[in-house]
Amino acid sequence: MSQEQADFAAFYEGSRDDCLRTVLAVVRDVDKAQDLVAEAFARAWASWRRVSRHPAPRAWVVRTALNLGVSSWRRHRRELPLTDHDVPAYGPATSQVNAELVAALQRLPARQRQVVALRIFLDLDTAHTAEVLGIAPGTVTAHLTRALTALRAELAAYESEGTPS
Amino acid sequence: MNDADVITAVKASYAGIHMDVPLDVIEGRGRRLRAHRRLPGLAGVAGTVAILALAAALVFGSGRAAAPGGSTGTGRLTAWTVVSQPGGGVRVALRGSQIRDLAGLQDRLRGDGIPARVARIGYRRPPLNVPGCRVFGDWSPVPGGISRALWLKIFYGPHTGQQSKRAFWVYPSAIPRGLGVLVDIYYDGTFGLYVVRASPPCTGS
Repeated sequence: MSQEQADFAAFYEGSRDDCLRTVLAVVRDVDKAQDLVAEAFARAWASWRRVSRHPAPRAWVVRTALNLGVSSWRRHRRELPLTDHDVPAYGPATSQVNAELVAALQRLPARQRQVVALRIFLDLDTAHTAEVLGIAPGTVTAHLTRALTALRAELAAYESEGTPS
Repeated sequence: MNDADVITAVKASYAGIHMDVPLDVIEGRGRRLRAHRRLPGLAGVAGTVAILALAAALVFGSGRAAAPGGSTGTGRLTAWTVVSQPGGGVRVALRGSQIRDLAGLQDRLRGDGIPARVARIGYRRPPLNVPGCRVFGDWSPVPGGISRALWLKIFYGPHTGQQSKRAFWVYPSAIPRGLGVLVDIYYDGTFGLYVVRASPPCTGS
């Protein structure tokens, strides 16, 4: 294995789950997210010399995957839908509260989901998140605040319902 | 509950999500992308030839006449062509790395009497798990399986040897009643061919 291959393998191993979770939070379909992220990683490998020098390669992968998602939707909207593809499958929820939180995240507006995903799963700072999404840093902060407020309310509601009075 | 608690809870809620596409699949696809990129000159020449051919077809009106007794892919030069062959087979040629209008291809195959499902199944979903379809994944002599000979009769007919990576044949007369075909179009424009149980949700009939 060449050094280049070894570097990419290490990058893939260390980033794939976080990238998948980020894209999944945005597109809300685990199969579609897997496909988009796989394709984005393939493109990263095809351009690895350039991508490896990117200041945030994981953000490059996520942005590529999300861009593919947009162009894929435009390109494939006439394609045959697989009948149960629209049923979200998020993988095993480890507890009821996790399922509730996942559902709450899915209900957020798209831009808030994007900001939450990039900030939480990729640990991007405000500036990088703004760069990836092509919006102002202040807008990132506003979306994140709203999103966390909504999620906190959902969590609090769940906890109050789940606590015996 | 502060922001850090919410963030921790959100992270934990996705902890069970894992990417399970093998590295070698990613690298293989990446290599093909690189190879495509190395041929810009050839692609340019091919594009020029295609444009000239299209112009000639428009001028002389001979585009469809070239198809021997069959139907063409409705002029989509970057997608697919379906041509009925004199021997009873149907030849499907795919063009470009992004095959578009899969529903159109499926309709065309069904219109030619083939119970067909055309889908882009993707990296993760195994082709044997297509919703609505009972897919025969391998050749098995046991009841409920299909034989390799039948698969070859359906997709190869009288052909022997390798088929093209960009074209395949289907022989409708070789498809037993109750069976159909599944064509899985990959991201790079190649394909996989499977036999399925014919049913309305899978093959339309």
